[in-house]
Amino acid sequence: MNGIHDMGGMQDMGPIKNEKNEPVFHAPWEGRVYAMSAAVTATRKLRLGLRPPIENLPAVEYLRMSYYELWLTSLTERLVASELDDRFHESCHFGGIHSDFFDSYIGPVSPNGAGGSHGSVAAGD
Amino acid sequence: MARGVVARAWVDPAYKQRLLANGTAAIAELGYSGSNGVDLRVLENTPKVHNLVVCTLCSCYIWAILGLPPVWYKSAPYRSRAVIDPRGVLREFGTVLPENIEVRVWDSTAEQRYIVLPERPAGSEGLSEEALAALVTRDAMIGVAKVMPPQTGGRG
Repeated sequence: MNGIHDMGGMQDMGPIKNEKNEPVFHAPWEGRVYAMSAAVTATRKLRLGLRPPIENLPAVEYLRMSYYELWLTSLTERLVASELDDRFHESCHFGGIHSDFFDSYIGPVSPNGAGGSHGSVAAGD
Repeated sequence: MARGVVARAWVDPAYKQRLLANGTAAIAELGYSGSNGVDLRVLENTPKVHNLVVCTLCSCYIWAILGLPPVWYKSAPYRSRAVIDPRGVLREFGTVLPENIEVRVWDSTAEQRYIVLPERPAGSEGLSEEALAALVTRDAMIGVAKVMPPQTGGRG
């Protein structure tokens, strides 16, 4: 399917930012999103995996979010759709995550946002 | 990290042959697993051919061997440009290739992933397998860098 995620050959995306001595995760919440994604995928209860919600995002959302923000958005959407956890219904909506989601599932976010030079998520985003 | 796979291929021609013929099986020989259902192909750099790996759609990568990909590998600039301007991308990583070297770009998928077998650097003839492995970098296995000779330092 065509979409913003199909980036091969697109132009004017700017220089490549090669960070020296890059950490595996730029903030603790990124590691938690990775772990949750792996855990939920391992249940094999998600239809079609975690990529379709990312690929269906509006282009401006896709380009705005960092990598783990995209995965968190997908995870949220998929968990709601799969009814693996209906607690998400109250606290989440497609394309954005409320602060109580972080309180319940991610843990506190630092006052300055999550940090990292390539995008961040702050409580209330 | 799987520097040892490259070093083994440099010192053991039979292993290299198995690695190029069936990357998934040959890498499993060295104890790397966790790539169930993923077909791994090893791409050999030669004096005439340089290979570069990208995932234009997302972030497909040899996670089980190289760990999580760096941010730049998952970023829009690398994913968009690697397939239309690979030499420009390589220059940004400090890798300048002569025009007569063919550049092959490989777009990864969920089922098909790639790893580059870089050229063994000049001046490394006397090194042990372990010392050779220490020269190998993640970037060389993605294809954005070459393995540097020992006297100029190999890690980057």
